[in-house]
Amino acid sequence: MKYRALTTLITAAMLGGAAHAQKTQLEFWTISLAPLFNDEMNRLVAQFEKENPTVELKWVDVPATAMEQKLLASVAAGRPPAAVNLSSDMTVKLVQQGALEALDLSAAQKKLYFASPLNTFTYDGKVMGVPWYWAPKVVAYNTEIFRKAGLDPANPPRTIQTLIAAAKQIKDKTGMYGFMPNINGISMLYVFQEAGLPILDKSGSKAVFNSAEHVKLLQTYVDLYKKGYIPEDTMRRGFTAATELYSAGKLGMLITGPQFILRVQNDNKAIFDQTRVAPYPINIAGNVIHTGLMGFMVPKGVRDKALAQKLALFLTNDVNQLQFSKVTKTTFPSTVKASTDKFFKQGGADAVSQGRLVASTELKRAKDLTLVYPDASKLNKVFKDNVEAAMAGQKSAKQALDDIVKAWNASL
Amino acid sequence: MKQRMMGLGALLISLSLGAAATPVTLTPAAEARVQTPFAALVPQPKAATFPNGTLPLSGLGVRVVGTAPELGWAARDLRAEWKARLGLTLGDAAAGAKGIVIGTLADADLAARAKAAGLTPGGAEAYALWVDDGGAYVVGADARGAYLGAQTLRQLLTPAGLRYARITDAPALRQRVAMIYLDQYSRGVNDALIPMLAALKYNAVLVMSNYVQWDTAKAGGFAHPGGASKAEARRVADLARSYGLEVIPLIETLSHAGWMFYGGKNLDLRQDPDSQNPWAYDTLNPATYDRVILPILKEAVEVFGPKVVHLGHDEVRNRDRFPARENGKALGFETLFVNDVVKLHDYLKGLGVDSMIWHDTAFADAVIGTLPARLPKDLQVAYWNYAPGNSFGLLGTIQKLGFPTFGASWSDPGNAEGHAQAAASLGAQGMIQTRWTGYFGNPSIWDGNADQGTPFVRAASAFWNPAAPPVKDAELRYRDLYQPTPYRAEAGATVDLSPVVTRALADEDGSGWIGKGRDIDLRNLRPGVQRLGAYLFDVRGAVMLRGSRASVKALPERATVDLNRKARAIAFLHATGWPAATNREKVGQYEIEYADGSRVTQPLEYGRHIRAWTDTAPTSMIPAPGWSGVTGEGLNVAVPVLEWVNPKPDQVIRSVTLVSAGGNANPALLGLTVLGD
Repeated sequence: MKYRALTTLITAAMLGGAAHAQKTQLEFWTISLAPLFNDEMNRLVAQFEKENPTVELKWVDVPATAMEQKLLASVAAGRPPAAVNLSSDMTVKLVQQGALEALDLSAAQKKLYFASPLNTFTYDGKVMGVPWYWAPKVVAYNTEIFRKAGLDPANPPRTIQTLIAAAKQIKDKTGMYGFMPNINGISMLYVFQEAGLPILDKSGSKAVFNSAEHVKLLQTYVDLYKKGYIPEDTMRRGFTAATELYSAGKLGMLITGPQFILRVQNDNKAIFDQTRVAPYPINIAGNVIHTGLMGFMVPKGVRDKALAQKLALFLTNDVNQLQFSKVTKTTFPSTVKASTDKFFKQGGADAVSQGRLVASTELKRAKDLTLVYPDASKLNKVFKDNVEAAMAGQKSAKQALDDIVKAWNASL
Repeated sequence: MKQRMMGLGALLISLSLGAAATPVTLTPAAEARVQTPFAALVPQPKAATFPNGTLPLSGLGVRVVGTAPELGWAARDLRAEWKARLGLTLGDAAAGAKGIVIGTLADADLAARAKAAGLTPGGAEAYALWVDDGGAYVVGADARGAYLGAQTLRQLLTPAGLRYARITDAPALRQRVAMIYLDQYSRGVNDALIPMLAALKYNAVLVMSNYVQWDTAKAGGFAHPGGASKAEARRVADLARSYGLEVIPLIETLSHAGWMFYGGKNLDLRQDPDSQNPWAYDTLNPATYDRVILPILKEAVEVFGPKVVHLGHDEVRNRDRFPARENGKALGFETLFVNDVVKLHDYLKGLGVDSMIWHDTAFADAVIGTLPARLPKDLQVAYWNYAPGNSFGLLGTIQKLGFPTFGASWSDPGNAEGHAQAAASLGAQGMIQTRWTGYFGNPSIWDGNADQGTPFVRAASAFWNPAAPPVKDAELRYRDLYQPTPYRAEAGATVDLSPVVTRALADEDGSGWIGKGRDIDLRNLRPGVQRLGAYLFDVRGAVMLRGSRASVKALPERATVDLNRKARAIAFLHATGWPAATNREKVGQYEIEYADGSRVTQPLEYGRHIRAWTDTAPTSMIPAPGWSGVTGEGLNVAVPVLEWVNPKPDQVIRSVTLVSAGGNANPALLGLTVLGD
């Protein structure tokens, strides 16, 4: 070890800068933030390096679809990043796969965050990550399409039922699709919960989402799909296709996180100018909006866990969360102090500002409905495959839900 | 019939749970492992009858009538089949002697014989086949048909002779394409896959070629070390053609273009200058084409000699901004996309080659009203939809817009089957069975992503004859076609594990199997001596070991079987109670101890050597199919077989110990059979 340290110093001297040679190299990974938020991420890098002069920090942005596999590979190879941005559903799987380190937070550090989001990342009493940003979904709608369909742009749908009715009216009257509901992947699990329907029994050891009510709700979407009210791309490309279709002026309503209205603004200014934003319709029975939470985690195998945790805390501290929200314009912090900033109560004429204000009013109903259950990766695949089979007509809605419940109950 | 022979051939062995050893019974079996031909033909012919009888193999030879290369390939494949299955050499048939005759309707004598047999084939790739006491005849409507008929004849081979048959057959779809990859592991994998695909009557391969080490890539510094060499690409193309498979290179252009930015090269050509992981290229920079794309297409045409090149063009706007640059925004996405397609299409046309793209970007709802009208009408379009079922409406829409259309399927059961039916009814050009195992993941098609290999069998059947019922034993057939196994029986001995059973398979009261009661148990795996896959097992219950779940925490950590016997191999019928979080997680091991005290350990990696009984997706072909069935409430379940080959077959094995790692995926041994005299 002494020999190695001496070598380092000599090498540093030869390079003409001991400080540079001795710096600790760190990386942090985010999900799909480049290139829109490059400036903010680079600011964070510079600030952390300024506060920690012995650290050289690198930001790597990873596509959402590649994140889990890339992280697992890096952990297996013994070269994980110091901190990694994960969504709540990804975190469940990666905790089960043993890919994350538990954090060691003081009471004061825990108090920085709202209890609910911090609890989302707490498993068996262990804090496996610190919460970052979230954004309740809203309904962005095209006022011109509303008018053509005979709908009142000043009176957007307030319930799921009227949302579906409006979508059908748009298709019937204009030939354009009314909406692309979030039903791909495991999203129906959230749709059920938003409708007040349970997923597991009280013991958590039995799946119960094959009741007549659940079947009826799934059947609603199967019927919409079969009758051509939902585009084929809904199941295949989900949200990406919805944003693309909306930006092309061919979708009446875009159910989205408000931050993605920025993409519409980037892709088609004319459509953006026709856009207004309404709250996501609450299903009275559930009175909750699923709002996925982002966080920062420390992967298994980091060389300096204390430093990695310091980085995760830095990225999610009050100041940086507020600044991130100001840059995204529509996401919300999970820290207590930042959330009180007047910025979040500021409306405006454009769709982005409307989106932020609307979402802020929805926060009280926002909840991350991600469930923690064993064998999540495999059970999620069973869920996805069977819902797709129902949508594609290979199985009835009842058969699909029955088959999922059987598979889940063998694992729970 | 009870096959145990207590007091006669039975031997006593002992088993122990921890320290205590318990005597158990080992029963000799003449056919402990048996490999037999499949009874049903895949793909199922359009019309086939099987009269009683077999044509003896003695003195049988093969005679080719005609000079088309396909006829020679047919004889080659038959000879390989004789050698692999029976260890026999199939010689040439003497003129006038009884034998196997392969030819086409172009030969007047064969045409007359087919007519006399009432089995005249009609249409491209059609064939007639009959086997009776007069010999075996394969007569194609063309040489391709004769080659494909020979693939059917291979399946009629048994150790006793060729099964009598009368068959007329023809494909429902003109092009039946399977996807393969070129990487550093190409040789070993593609050399097994290509003959297998031919046997399944595919007639083309879509060859993922992004990372071939093109001269252009080498000169530009972006050749990936994991890519196949150009020589290997050429070799695979030649091999595929010699098995009747047209070669369609896939070079992902416009999007999925990370290959051209490998090593940080060509970053000036990124569509989105701010992208960290460049996804698409800048279509308005002439260097994109002059420096990278066109030279590589030229090389690909030289190497593969294709009729058509697949240009990708899918998911163009899924990642970065597109358009991202101001000059691109001024023109708009549609114009950029169309101009790129037209440029590449026209370039290839100048080389005498057609073009193909994926459908999803060009025919997305956002642009379908305008963009397709601007594309060349001879552009082939592959419509991918990987859902099971019968909802493939866009396939017909694209066809009606005037493009030659393919369907593209993937791995989910019911996807290739439903999609092929839709393609056939619409008169589409053909079907493509895709496989997405990573650019450098060739070996995973056997071990890791084998659940993307078995669909090659299901899809082949659906592409050839969409009206046929789905193939139920695709896993068995995939194993057998990828690594052909001799038809033979092997002696051995079954072991009655009942003294060390810890859990009953039928859970009447929540204390059996995994403790979930009668609806979620293995009651349908009946006790007794039975053949499961190729193996004979004596099933008595489960030697289930400790795991992290509450209902199995109190079970023992290990169980030992004292064998005191030599063996060529040991077959383990086993599963875990629950899945592991990741494939390759070590869930336990077998410890084999020899009489001389030496030991060998066989690790149990999840997915690779053992799977949960509820995990029916065969991600690895290392385990063989064993038992499959349903739970009391109808959930599909399976218990595979791991055949451990003894590295020291001349030494006596004293004992075998199963050890659990104690995690979520706790191992359970349901059967143990010793192989070898």
